[in-house]
Amino acid sequence: MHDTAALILEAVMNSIEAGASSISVRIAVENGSVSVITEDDGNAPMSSDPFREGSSTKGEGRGRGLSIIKEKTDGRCRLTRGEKKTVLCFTAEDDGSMDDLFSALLPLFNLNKAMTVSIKRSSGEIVVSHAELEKRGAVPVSAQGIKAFRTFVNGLEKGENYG
Amino acid sequence: MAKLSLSDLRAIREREEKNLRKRNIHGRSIHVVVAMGTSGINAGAKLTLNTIADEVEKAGLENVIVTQAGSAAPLPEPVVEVYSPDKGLVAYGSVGVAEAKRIVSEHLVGGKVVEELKVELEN
Repeated sequence: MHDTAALILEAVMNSIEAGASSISVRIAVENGSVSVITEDDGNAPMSSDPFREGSSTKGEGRGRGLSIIKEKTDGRCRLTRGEKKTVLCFTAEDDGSMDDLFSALLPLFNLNKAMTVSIKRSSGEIVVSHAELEKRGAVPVSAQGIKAFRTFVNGLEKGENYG
Repeated sequence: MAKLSLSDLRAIREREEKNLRKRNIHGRSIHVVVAMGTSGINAGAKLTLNTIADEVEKAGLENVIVTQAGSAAPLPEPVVEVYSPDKGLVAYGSVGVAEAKRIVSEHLVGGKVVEELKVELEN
């Protein structure tokens, strides 16, 4: 059940568990592939091979997200740790799970974290930030927020701008 | 203004205490948590979360907050926990699309625990 949209969720969960307070996700859908780059400011300890199952520093039975990403992307993934940010890149098959943007993005913004997601597709690029959703009462955790979030995402898909 | 009787005052106090008890999670009375760890996602928790969000939106349940948490293993995932002031904490296991719809219509809207889907939480 790990479609490509779920791999992005795993990457974001990994950032949150690493203590990130700010997360940026860049997604590019092109030529049958989905390329994802996440950047965060988390600073949890990292093992020498964070993609290996069982290598997590989070404790037994936890932290399988990165090994799932490695498995599902046939190893097309990389994690680099800088002084103040961690960058995870991976490329997965475009399985269509990013076509329904509302369903793909809701689990990310339902996490209620400072996050910005940009999605580049053949139809153009759209950017969704948690700050913008908060301003609009569109954080999808309540009926009203979910409705506003749907309207907002649909508007972006139709090429409506905000700012 | 008409004088209030003792029984009127008692009724008001009971009503306000009830309202106060309900207003405990970000001003919402019911909190739904979908377990979204790796095993949960693998079992379909993303679809479960989206279904619950859709149904809560459709029903216009403004007293409900829907969020997510990490793994609920070893419970049978996808796991959904519902906290409400009157029923307390109830955990549901193996929640797919159909089960998610039932939880919204029977528990969140109807106020009745869906016994067949209930799982016992570990202490």
